[in-house]
Amino acid sequence: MRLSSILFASSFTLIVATGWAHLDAGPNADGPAQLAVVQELTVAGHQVGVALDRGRVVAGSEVHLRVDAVPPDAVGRELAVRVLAQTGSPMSRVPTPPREVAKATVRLAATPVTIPLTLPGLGGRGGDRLAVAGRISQYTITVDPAGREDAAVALPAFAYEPEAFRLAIDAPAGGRAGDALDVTVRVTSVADAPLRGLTIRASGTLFTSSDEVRIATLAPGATAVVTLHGVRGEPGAGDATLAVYGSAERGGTASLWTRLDADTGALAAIAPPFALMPGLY
Amino acid sequence: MRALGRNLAALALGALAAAACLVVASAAGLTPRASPPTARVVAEDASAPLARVAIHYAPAADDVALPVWRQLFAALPPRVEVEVAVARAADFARFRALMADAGVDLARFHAVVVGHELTTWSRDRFVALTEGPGRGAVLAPPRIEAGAVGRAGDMASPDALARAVWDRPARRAPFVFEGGDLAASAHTLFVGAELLTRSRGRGDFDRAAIDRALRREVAGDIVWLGAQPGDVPHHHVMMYMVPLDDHTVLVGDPGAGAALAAREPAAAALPLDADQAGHQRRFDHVADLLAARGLRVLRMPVVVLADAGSYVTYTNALFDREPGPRGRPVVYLPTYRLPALDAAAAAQYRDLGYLVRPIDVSSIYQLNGSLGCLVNVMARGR
Repeated sequence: MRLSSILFASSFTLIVATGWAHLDAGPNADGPAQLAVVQELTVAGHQVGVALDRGRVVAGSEVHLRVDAVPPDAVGRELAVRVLAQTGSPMSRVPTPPREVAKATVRLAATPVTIPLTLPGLGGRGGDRLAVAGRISQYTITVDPAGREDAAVALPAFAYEPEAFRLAIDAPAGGRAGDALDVTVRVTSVADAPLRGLTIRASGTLFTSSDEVRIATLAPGATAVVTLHGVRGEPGAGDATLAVYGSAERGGTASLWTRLDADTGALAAIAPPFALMPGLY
Repeated sequence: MRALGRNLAALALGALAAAACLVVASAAGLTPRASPPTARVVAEDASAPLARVAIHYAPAADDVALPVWRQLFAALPPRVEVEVAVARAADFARFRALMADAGVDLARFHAVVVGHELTTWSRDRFVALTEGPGRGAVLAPPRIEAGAVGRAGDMASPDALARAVWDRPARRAPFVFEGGDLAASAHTLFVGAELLTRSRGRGDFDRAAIDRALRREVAGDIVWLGAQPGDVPHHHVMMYMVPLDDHTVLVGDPGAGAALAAREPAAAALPLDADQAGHQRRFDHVADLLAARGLRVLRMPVVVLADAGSYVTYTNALFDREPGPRGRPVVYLPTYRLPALDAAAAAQYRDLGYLVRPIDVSSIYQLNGSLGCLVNVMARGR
């Protein structure tokens, strides 16, 4: 009986010791697929919700910051709001370093408080809209219990400089994969000064092409019609895609994102400027 | 006989009880240690020859990126495989046609169709990890909001590249980062304090939390560049410094850059940023910090342009090494059509024993990046 106990204890100890050394937490767990913005901060022990009414605006427009109602013991307390701006273009690697462009104070109340915040964009850089057309300003609106930046929430918003020219396409002809395919692009100036050195390209599941067309100048309000030559692609199941890009030496950038019926070439959807259409791209 | 049976049963019962205890402990998370990481961030320095790089090809960026691709792939040795992330197969066909027109050998290019619009900046979407010869992984950040279609699409490229190269999805970090926030030598990972701004407002990701998370992912020494984002330049690491090996680093010197720019006629039209003193202080802080860690610090001219997004930088280069035990280090050096600055940088690398292959990035650098930002080194050889 005594030997049995020793044998039991020995095998138990040996295996636990060996197994413990090899037992671990396994592979490191992945982080989240998305990391959402925190939209609550703590004031006087209460959770206070803060939110923007929208995250994408045309430069110069307002967004509205809403701060939820608070219980009586938190009424009158202040939140500090700062607007930090960074600028870039859709093709920039990173935006410029953040700089504070506005600040405000919100006094908490028993009813929700909403304040407007203007996102000025690049302000035309001395009135020269063509120098900044198509660029993006990225804003971070921080809200914190006054003096406690460590407890801030940070809400993102984007402001877009209007494009100086618009792109549109005619529905491409039907056909089979590998056929020659021309895409007709209409380039219309919406600027009030001449645009110079526009280069137009297109690409998509429907259209394989290394062609590009250059437009030397485009007068205000004028439309140029250009044709890009390529080969019909094989879109596979579902709608085909076709994107058109324009960049100008003077006039910034513009783009058009479309979805087409793969058989007929009919336009199925066009993304509004600067919108990130779910399911389209 | 009965005693033998009883003893064998005792042994078996002991083993069973032990196994049960281990199973329960594992299920309850009562484990002695997490897996120590074995992966390292692929080195940026010339410690080993380039084996595989990734780029993003985006037709919308042809005006600015295509001149760089033509030069780079004419200069890069055929041994370097190139993963070309594209939004769609048609874009790869376009890229091949353009490279063929430029006389570039096409065999090295492999299409990775992401299915989303992309920007041309591959370096920032992920960091490549090495897990030993022939093995690697991709570490990507979680998705966040994006301002442009291409930037939103970029967030899908790490998975596509990881599956194409390593046949498994990208690992996902718990915190937000950009690939450019990290730069490694063979055994040391340098982390820019700008990384601390990425997860702001998205949870409790202070420096200690991010440091812990990084150490769970990668092995080796970790050196933070700055305690707070404002301590060092507000940019990706290689815009202001690069490790040349485990012991030597190059750090930008805005004063030296401004002095050269003042003597360079082609730089007359360049708008320098107004806060030159602030930039000098931040770059010097990086140099001091690294010197204090015992690293040999060399300075390299850099020019910080207006708004401090675009730099004329020579640390944001692509590094290679000739194969073999006597292989010399190679730098694909970004140049800016600023002869006095370009020549000074090239001379400095030559003095350090590098073969210098200049790549003109003047078409693209004012979009706030340079050569090293266009190319993500996924693997090096031996």
